[in-house]
Amino acid sequence: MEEIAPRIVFRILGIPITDSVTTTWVVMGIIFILSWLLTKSLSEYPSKLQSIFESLVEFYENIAIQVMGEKGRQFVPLALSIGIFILLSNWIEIIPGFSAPTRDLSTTVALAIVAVTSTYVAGIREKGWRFFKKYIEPNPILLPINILEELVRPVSLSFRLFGNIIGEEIVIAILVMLVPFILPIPMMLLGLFTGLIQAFIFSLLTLLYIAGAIEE
Amino acid sequence: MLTSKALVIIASVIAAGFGMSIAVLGGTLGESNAVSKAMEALGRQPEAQGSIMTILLLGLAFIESLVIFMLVVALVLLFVNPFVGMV
Repeated sequence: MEEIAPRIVFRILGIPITDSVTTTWVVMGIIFILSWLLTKSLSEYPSKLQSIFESLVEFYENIAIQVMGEKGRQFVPLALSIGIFILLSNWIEIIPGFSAPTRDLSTTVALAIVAVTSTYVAGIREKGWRFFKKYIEPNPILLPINILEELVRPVSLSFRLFGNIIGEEIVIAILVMLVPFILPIPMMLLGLFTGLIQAFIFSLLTLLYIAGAIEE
Repeated sequence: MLTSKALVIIASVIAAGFGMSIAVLGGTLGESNAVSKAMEALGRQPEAQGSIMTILLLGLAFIESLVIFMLVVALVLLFVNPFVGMV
């Protein structure tokens, strides 16, 4: 159990700082340096790195325009930054000494709260008070079910990411316990793929929930 | 003679293993159905490969997330069991 729970590294004024928090700082630093380096010398004839990221942004913009039209463009930065953060958080555990921050339930719940809150903000900004009308449609009897559906969203978002990452980590830990050589490597590669898919799913679901909130 | 704590532990381990196997069984049936239908659609319309793959992966992740919920319940039963402290 001690390996699964995030361990406390040090305390600030009695507040415990776990290793998932410190790893999150490292991920934030990587993203900060990466975006600073990328935007420092933007050119019309893009370098290799710039064209990779341009095609990534274009990919998300196509999805956003597909699901909610031209006004979906403004939500691409939110979804893409959530996606890149989750991707780097999942992948950083390949470096020895780091553990993925997303295997801590607190991290994934925080991300899910950001995603779900942004759907309310987008919906209320788009439609005003009419936003709440969708809870009594098609019939006011369905109000409890609609509210339940809203409550299930952050739970399923956060538990999906958390369960995937920690399940994969436990499988690797058991394999390392049984056969410490070579055998865990294919499982780790599968873990990289899972991390990529989960990051994509999380950001795509953010876009889809926002699209559901602002649709007419 | 078994103590009540040992009984709780035995019940938790059996519940975790049994529930996990049923969840995996259901998830496997659902995923195999989804993949076979996607293959059929791909054979009928090979030009729609991109959107079929995106929807397939999304659906697989949704199905898998339900299995993952069971995994979380099983982990709670195995590692942070709330009932062991009660007896």
